[in-house]
Amino acid sequence: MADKVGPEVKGSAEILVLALVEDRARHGYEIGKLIEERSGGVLKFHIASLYPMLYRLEKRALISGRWVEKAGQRRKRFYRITAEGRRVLASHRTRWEDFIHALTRVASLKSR
Amino acid sequence: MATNTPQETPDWKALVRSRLVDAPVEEDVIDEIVEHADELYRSHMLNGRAPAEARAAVEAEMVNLPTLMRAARAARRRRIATATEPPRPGAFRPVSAFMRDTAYGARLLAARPSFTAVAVLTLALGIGANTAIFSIVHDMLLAPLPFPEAERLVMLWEVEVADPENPYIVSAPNWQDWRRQSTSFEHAAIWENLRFNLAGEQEPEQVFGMRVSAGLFPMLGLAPQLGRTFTEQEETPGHALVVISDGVWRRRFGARPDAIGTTMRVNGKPHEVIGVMPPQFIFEQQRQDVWVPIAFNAEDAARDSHSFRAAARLKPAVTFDAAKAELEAIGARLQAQYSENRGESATLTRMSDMGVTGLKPTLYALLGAVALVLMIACVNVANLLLAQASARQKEFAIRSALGAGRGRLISQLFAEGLLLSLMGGMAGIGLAWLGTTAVSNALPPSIRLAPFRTAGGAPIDPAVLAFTFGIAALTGVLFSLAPMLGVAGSQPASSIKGAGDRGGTARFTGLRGVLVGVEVALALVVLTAAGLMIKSVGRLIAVDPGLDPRGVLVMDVALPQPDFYGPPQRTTFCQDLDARVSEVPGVLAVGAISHLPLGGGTAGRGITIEGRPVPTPEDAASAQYRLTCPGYFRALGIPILRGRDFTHGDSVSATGAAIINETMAKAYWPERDPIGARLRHGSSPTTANPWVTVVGVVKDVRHFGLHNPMRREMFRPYSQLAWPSMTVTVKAAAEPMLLASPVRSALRAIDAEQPVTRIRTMDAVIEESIGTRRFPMLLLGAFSLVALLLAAIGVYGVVTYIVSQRTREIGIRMALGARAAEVVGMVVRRSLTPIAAGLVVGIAGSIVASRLLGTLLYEVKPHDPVVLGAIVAVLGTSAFAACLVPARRAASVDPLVVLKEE
Repeated sequence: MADKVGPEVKGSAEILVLALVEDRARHGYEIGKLIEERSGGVLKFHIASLYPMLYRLEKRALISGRWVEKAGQRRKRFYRITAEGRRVLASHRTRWEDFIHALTRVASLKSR
Repeated sequence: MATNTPQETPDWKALVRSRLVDAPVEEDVIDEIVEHADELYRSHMLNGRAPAEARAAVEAEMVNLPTLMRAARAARRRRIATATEPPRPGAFRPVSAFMRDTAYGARLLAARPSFTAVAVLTLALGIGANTAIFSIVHDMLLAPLPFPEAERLVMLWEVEVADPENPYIVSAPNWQDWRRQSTSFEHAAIWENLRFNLAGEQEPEQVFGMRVSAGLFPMLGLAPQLGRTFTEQEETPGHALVVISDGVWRRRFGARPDAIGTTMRVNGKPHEVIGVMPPQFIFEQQRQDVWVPIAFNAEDAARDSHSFRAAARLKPAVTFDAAKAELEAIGARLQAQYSENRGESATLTRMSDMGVTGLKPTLYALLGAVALVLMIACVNVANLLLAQASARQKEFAIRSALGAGRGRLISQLFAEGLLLSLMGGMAGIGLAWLGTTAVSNALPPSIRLAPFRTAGGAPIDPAVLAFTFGIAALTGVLFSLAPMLGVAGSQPASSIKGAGDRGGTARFTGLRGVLVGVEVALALVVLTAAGLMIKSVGRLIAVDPGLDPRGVLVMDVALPQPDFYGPPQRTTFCQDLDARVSEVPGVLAVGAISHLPLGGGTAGRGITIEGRPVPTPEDAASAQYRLTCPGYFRALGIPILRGRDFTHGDSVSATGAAIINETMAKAYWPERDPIGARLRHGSSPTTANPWVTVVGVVKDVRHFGLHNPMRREMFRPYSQLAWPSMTVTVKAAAEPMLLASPVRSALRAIDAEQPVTRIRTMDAVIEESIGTRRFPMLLLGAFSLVALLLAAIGVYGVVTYIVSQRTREIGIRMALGARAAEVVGMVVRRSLTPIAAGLVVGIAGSIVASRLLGTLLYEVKPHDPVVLGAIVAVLGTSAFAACLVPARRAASVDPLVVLKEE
């Protein structure tokens, strides 16, 4: 887990992964990279933290991994969201939005 | 410089294995990590890092690999094998998405209780107040009269050619000529409003009623619910018939169908009940209870005896203007034909205008004020939502980063705005209901008892409710979408970090400044209107009515007699009154008068003054005409300036006596003492009425309202000349209402069939007389407080926002040594620009708008500088105070904290 974010983000990091594999399958490196890019560098995952999370998600059948081999390339494992994953994502999103909102409120009150 | 080529990729597999000594190994996992490491390494190399550096960076990430591996193994082993079917692509369900957005919006609103409460309350106030006032105005001015094809109903009036704006009631001969000569009318009717005493098995009661021509009911197009109405043959005297209201039928006959044909004592004489009108029949006042045939008498035959109201139903093809032209032409012919009609013509008004023409300024002023309040409310909600929009920039940036599409965000904001508006609307309906009821109850009688209006108050008008709600909802939804403007303009990443706020939300600053200006300007207009009304009413209350209302109790008694205006049948009424009521303990003085000052009633008489030349009929003398019992002036504290009050000696057999007021004395006897002068009723040179002698002069009283000038008044003793009803005036030593019951008993003792009605204090009468002004003043005052509050909230919100936008700048300034006072000054100066602009526009607007108050103002000009100055000061101070709070908070910013945020 990255050191730039506090513990409150940790438990909800799964939603980031689910959101990223919502529309298409991605491999592990791509997922980590996208999280870092889209968060403007605020969120960063190490190998040591990213994969256990992916496996946990797979174990809970929220995503499913599949090896894909292309000629001349090393095989890659692509993850895609499952139906259960979509359901969990939707409910997470709502809860997450509440949380962000709460954060925003607290944060903006502090900054005034 | 090292050559960064992929061929030199380290052997990641070996590295991983070397770190997995004594740990379980999953080949798949190793492959995956190696692949990841490979990509990472390449990415570092592409970014220009040295191979050793890139390798070190990748290795740094490969910590805790045994733990990872154990986690992987555990995950794989206990993997849930119940993966469900993947969803079909494109299975997006908009309805359920919207439901979800709505639920989410509800949670968000619940999470911001103060914002939600203020927004909902603001909307509710706007919607509720508007619906209430519009509903009442609709009921009073716009709703059709409760008769079939009511637009064809017109009122017929006589009018002085020189004063066409003030038509008056008609004489029977003129009306008969109009009816005969006109071709425009399908039906025409004439009636006189009177009070009647009903007696019988039940408690005697005094009711309002009419003597009517047979055409009245067919003209209105309404049939009785039981029995019949009058025929033309029954218009002649001698037919003791009565049509009763549904109320009387229920009260006195227990709603029995066999009431028809029975007799009832009306004014002491048995009358046959021939018909019962339906419950909803209101013509022209809500409390009419009995109708008797018109039975023209000798007095009615005089062409200058104006006693009647007249109306007609136009033929379907005849326009109002054509009928008016025809009637005016007839009026001109009659003027040439009869000397009594000199200077007089006839005119038409729409029946729907009856009684409400005078109310229009009040109602329109309220309508205008309440519309401004709605606009202020909408502006305020817009402002609140914009403030939320800027506060939520980060939230929306993050959600956009998480992959929420534009459509989704808009849909969610839309749901939120709609929800807010709905809540405001629901609360608004509640307020509208309360408001309509409260305002209907608070309406002064002059408005509440306007012709044809229902007693129970105006119903909430669904169309009005829909309209105001629509406007409020539109505002709510439109401005709730404001955060999208910010999202479109800024990069999610920079917004999340907090650095990009200024880029995305700067556009709101200008818009919000304009909104504040608008809000201040609108509030100023409402406040000024209220200020002018308050000053008017203040001036009015300060007017000396010319009498002393303290401790005076008044009540009405009816004194019916067959010949309405002849010598009184009850010759001893004044004596009996004096004898019985004076005995009641606590009574200091007692008297009676036909037309109580400020009570709304009056009568006028043409008179002839002995020795005063009358070159043309226009020079004829006239005076307001009242009948009194001895003691009236003393009871009301009206000073007798010269001469004496009437005594019981001024009887029918004695010489006729008259008392006049100062104004009349100055008008007709400017050079001499009027005591002993003689005058007689009737202005015609041929009049044969007996001469009466002026025996006293009294001080002027504001009979026609505190705001109206004095007129010539002449008093005659009731013992010499009758009047169908008198108001008893009792001066009490202490609290007057305590005497209500003993005085009523004393009156009963004089005549058991004598109903006593409308017991009230003289203070209440005066209070009621200024109700037409006090009522709009109170409502305008309430609206202006709401406007002031909303404007202050608006200013506060905007300044808070400006401060939040500039926190960093303020921090830097303070770090560089700016003092708190300077920061406050800077923030306030910036905020004052829109407020000052709003005040300037508002002053101009209120000068224009206050003109519409026009006749509602009393001795106050619409541009009264004192009022305007005071209002600008109040509003300016409130706005200033509203920006001071956030400005001071800005000055307490800790520079360190602010700068750390970056």
